[in-house]
Amino acid sequence: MGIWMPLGSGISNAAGRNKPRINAVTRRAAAILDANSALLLLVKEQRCEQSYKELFVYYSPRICTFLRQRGADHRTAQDIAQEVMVKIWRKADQFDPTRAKASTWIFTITRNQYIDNIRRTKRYEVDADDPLLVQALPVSPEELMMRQCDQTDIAVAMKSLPSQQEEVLTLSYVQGKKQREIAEELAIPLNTVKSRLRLGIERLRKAMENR
Amino acid sequence: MAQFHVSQEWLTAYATGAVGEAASALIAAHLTLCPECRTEVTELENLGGVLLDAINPDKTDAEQQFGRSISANARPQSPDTIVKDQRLFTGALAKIAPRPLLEFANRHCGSVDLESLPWRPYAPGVKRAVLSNGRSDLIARFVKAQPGSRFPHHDHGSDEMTIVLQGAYRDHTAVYSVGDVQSIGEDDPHQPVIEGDEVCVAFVISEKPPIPTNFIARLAQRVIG
Ligand SMILES: [Zn+2]
Repeated sequence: MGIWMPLGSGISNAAGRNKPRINAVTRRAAAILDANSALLLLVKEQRCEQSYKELFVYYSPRICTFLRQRGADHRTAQDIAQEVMVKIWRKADQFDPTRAKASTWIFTITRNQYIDNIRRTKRYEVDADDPLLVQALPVSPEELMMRQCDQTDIAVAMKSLPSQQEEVLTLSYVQGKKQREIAEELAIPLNTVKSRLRLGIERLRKAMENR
Repeated sequence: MAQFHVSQEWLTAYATGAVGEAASALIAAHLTLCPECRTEVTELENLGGVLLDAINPDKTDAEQQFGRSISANARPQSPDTIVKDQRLFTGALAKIAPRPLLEFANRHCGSVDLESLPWRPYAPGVKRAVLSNGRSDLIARFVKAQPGSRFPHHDHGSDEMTIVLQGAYRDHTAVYSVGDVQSIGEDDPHQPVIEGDEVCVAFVISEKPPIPTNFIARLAQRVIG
């Protein structure tokens, strides 16, 4: 159990960063322009080096730790984190704050770099220009705002999860394990992992809805 | 709109980066055809972002590294432009297969033409084209079956996932048509029969779970067996 403590404590420590208590309307606006997304937007639109530096100082060590938790050695983790940060600078023009927060966007870049460098496997993604793409029903700007808002509050809701659920969510996300591997690692049945993960995600959803 | 979806387990594995190549191609193909599952993956990625923010980082001298990165290669560069090979996206297969599968087919047999895939007879009216990277973690194939044909009754040595690209088939569980995904576990025998009067084309993978990269997981595996 002891080895998981740093993960758990990490989650409860940093989750509320940049999130003052404010009313719902301001919170929606703030959710869209959460501090890191705003910085990334400045990098995108003005190639603002100071903003990039702030993002670098915040994310580079987190990406490094994230990769080490996924089994990379220190040197490799640093190299990959470096590559991710370079990509953030170079691809900032692809960042779309109406579709994802900075943290989500950076998570996906980190995940893909990890797959390239460590798992050395190819990953396929949806091509937005695919003529076979089935479009979602149109979403109102209101709804979009609500979704953005939801993301910001997931962090708070994570804290309210029973530790067993938080544990499987963390193993799944931070360490990128499949449910089968989590079951082996925690020496619990696969169905228990499935139900904890499902309950955890359900509970996060509920917390979002009942806000 | 698809009726049968990629399981929560596989969607989570896709969002966290735990799936292998063939599974990612199949899942991305379903996501192309299914806005519901796309939304689900986006939500799962949001959660990944939250967890990245929540990491309590190792102490590092990020400022110093930033200095180094600036002097090295991170200075302003022109943004990447993605050049897509449009040749991939024409031909008969392109009419029915989402782009991730076209890229996959091109990568593993150098062809994106439905007719020139390496088809081999499998059963009366049924052909298979196996695409493999020669490693055991990836077994993928296209299947093409004439109307009225049936597969041999068969069992599965490992987890198997199928996405229908054209036509439909039926087994004892349901009728699966375009965009639908059927997941079948080990020891779960079935006998698909082609439904309707259209040739049925599907993409099928059997993929073993990836080898855990994490040292603790490997250790745990050795201890638990
Ligand atoms: Zn779906």
